[in-house]
Amino acid sequence: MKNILRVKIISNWIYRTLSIGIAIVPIYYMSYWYFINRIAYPLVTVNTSSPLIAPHELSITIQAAGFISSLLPLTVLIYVLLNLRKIFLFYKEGIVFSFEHVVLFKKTAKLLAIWVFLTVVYEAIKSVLFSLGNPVGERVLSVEFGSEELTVIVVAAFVYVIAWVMDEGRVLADENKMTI
Amino acid sequence: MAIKINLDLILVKRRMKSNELANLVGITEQNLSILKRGKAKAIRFTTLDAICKYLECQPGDILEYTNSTEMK
Repeated sequence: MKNILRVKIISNWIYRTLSIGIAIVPIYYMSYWYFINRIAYPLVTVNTSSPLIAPHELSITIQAAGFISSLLPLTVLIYVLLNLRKIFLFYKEGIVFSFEHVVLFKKTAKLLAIWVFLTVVYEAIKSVLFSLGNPVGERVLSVEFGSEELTVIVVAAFVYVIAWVMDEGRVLADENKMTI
Repeated sequence: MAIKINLDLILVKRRMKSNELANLVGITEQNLSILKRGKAKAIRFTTLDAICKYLECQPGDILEYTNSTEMK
């Protein structure tokens, strides 16, 4: 019973943190594109490793295009955070093994993989948008798939395996419920 | 399942109510009901021991194996 109490307490904190994260992440994305011209030049090239992007101000159209392209990975990321928050809502209430957990873990794993793909696409679009200010012939399309993306894919695979483990746990918990 | 639970019969013979037995054994009424209706998947020896103790009976009085194919 001590473990369940610990799970409830920690899950409560994680639930609150995820709730804050769900609010902060879209604000961060919006702020990034809104304030991009008002902060130091290096931010234009942050997360894009191309050294060929010349520092310049981005027009409103490019800022809007950038924000719209960020909506794809942002939406998936918010959905991942919502799924995780739901998992921890169950843990907060002391429900550790259930069919809903299995479904949520599987969904989260698939969404993480989709998020990686959309992030690669988003970063590629960003490299184009940032290099539109370069002279003709020096514009850049940078498509990157590195260790960070691979790490998230591996984590997604782990989460999917955890879903199978949770399913076994659910079967055992159901049997335990029907053991008098 | 081929295992039949004759708990209702013994409770009537001993003139004991389900909730009384549940309290004595230390299980919930809901769990006792699951057992009586034959919906339980397993019974702990500690539970069976307590039931036999308070109903003053043998496990065989409560649990009966019926081979449904033979009956046909």
